[in-house]
Amino acid sequence: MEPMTEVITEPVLLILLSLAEHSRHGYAILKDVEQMSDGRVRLSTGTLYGALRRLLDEDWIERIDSDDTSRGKQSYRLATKGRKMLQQEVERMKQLTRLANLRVARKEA
Amino acid sequence: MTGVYQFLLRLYPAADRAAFGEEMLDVLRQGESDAAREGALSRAWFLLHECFGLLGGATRERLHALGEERGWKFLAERGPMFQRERRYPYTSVVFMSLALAVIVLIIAKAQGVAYYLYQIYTLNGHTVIETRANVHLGNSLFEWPSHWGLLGSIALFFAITWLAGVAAWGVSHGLRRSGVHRLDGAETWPQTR
Repeated sequence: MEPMTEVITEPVLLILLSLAEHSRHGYAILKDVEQMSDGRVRLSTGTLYGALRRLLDEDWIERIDSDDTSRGKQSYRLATKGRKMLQQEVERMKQLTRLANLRVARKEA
Repeated sequence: MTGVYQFLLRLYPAADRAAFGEEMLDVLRQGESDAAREGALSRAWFLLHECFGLLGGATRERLHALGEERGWKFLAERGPMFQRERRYPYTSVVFMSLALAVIVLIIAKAQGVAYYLYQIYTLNGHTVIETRANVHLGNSLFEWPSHWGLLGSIALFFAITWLAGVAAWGVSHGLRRSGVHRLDGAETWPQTR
C-alpha cells in the first residue's frame, strides 16, 4: 500500500468512518457523523451531498439501491479505494498518537 | 416547508437535481420532522441551517458545472477532501465588489447632487460656490437628484451599505454554521470543543 501524503478533512473522514461498517442512506450518515463527533460536526444536507458527490467522483464510495424503502431509495457504501484511503488515514493517526504519547511521557518522566 | 426546500433545490443544476433532488428532499423532511419533535426553536434553527446549506451547496454546484463546461479547473473542483486543498474565496470577492460598487455609487450620487444644487466655479483663484436659483427637485427618492439632498443621499446609501453588510454577515454566518467551513478546516481533530 502506497503511503498517503495528504491528510483527509474531518467531515470526509467522518463520512468514510460512517460507511466503514455498513452502507447508509443520506440521513443516517448525517446523524452518525453528528453522533461520532459528539454533536460538534453538524453537516447540512447541502454540505453532505457536496461531499458525497466528490467522493463518488473520486470512486471512494458507491451509490447502491437501498433495501429499506421507507428511508429513501439510495444508500452509500465504501468502495475499495475509499476503504484503502481510510485505512491509510487511520494508520497515520495511530502513528501520530504513538509519537505524541511517547513525547508526552518523555516530558513527564 | 417542502415548498421552500423545493425552491432552493431548483437553484441546483438540472443534472444534480435529477440525480439527488428527491433524495435530498427526503433527508430534509426527515431532519425537519426530528427537529420539530425537539421544539419550535430547534425546528427554526434547523430550517435556517438547511436553507443556508442549500444556498451554499447550490452556489458550489453551479460554479462546478460552469467550470466543467468552460474547462476552468479552478472552478470545477467540488468540496475539498484533503487539508492541503484551498479554495479561492469567491464569496468574499463578490461581497467586496458589491461594497466597492456601493461606495462608487455614493460618490457619484454625492457629486451629482452637489453640481446640481450648486454652481461651482473659480474666480480670481478662489473657488466660488453659489446656490442655484429655481432648482426643481425631484419628488421621488429615486429621481436624480432626489429631494433628500446631499446629506440625505449619503445617509440613504450608508443605510443600504449597512443593511447589505448585515445580510452578508448573515449569509457568511449561516454558511459557517452549515459546516461548509469545516471542509476547508486545517485541523483533523481539534483537541478542544
